[in-house]
Amino acid sequence: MNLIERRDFLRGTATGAFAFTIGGVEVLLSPREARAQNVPFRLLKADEAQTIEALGETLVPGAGAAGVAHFVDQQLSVPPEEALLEARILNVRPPYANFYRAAVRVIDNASQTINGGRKFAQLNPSEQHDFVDAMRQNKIQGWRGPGGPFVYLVLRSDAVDVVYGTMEGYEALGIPYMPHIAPEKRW
Amino acid sequence: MATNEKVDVVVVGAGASGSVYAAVLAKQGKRVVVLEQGPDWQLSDLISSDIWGRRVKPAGGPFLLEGKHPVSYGYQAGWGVGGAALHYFANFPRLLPNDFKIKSEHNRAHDWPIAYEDVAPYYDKVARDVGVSGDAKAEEIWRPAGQPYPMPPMKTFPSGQVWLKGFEAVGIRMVPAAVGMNSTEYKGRAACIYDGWCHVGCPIGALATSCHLPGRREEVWRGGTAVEHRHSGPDDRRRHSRHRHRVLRPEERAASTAGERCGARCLGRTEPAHPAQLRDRQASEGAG
Repeated sequence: MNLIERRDFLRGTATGAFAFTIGGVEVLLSPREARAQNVPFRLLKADEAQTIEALGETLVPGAGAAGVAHFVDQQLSVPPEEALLEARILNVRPPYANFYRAAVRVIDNASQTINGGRKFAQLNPSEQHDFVDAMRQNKIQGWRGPGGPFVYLVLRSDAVDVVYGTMEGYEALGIPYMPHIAPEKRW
Repeated sequence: MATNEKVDVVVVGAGASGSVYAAVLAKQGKRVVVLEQGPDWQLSDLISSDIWGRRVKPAGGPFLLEGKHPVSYGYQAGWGVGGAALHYFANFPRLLPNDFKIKSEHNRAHDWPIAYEDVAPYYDKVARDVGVSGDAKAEEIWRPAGQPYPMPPMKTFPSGQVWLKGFEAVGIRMVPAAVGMNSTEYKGRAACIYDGWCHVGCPIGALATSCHLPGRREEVWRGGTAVEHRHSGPDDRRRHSRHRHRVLRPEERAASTAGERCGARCLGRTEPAHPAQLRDRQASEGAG
């Protein structure tokens, strides 16, 4: 945050752009752009991000390319009171990274148990769909971690946010946005 | 910043109850301090965005998450000035006379030591002060008569007509809900334009929020002292760098009628009432 004015950072956030670090310099990018530029994650490990992206894509097609993993990662890196994650109002105890890491862990452990050692991101789309279907109904045996339906709810919200939470997303759904105060630009 | 100034009342939390309570006390000449840990939201902060709307909800607080019955209230709760009343759908239903006699009539729970008639005048007073739209006459099929609401009911849209038709078919009579929304301009606050952003806050002031409830800022939040606040919020320094800790000055307590003052302050001269003006203002502030 030292290399970018706080006000610019916040204004960027309002546009759907977030502060990502590239080569030690903070730049404002949308999650989609951050993903396309392969921006390093701030908190998530590569395999954690992979699982979040795969799960997001399974829940809301397009979420992967929209940068759901970068969105979550960036939001986890800011103070909880600045985070815009749905987790914030679902009574997830800060720091929210703990929840996401626990969720990724339980998903991958369960996936490996069920699918011959393969993590969730390594499953084919049909297997991922079936896994998520069982997870949301709390039907996965030996699940040890945050409740499956709750993980489903939180991650689905994140995926919806990056795909449909923006003004473009509303347009894609054919819903008039009709803002009192429009978010700056398109967020 | 500490203060040794003596006050009559300390109100903890500037939500729907606290801010109104403080304003009423202050108008009666009491010296009031209101403590609020969250940001001092302004109407112009209430951006129409589902995602940005989460800013006015709790974050990082010491929620009770353990125990046999953990409380999950994040969606409904608020954070900062206005509290949950910043982002609600403002339903203002009244208790009914038999709600006060549950034990006598149904052998459940307890009877209240007061009756509907005791609180009825206050329902009417709150409706006038806060601004409630509804059809009191229609409600009086199930409750005693009282004062009319200060504004007519909100519009019923086609989806509501579908429900009405269904209820009518099975013989259930419906009445318009009493809501703390302006169906018409009221006390200088704009009328609702029905664009559905109540849940993230209404910057035109058509929703009865503590941002503009009677005399909140004018009666309670002027002057005084401020103490450093741990929170650093997502916008500018003006709002987020201070933990409000206000002490009224005597001249502030001799204020004119709350609604008029609030209207002038919040929506008349300093706050554009029209969404387009708000957008323009937002844009100009963003460019500043």
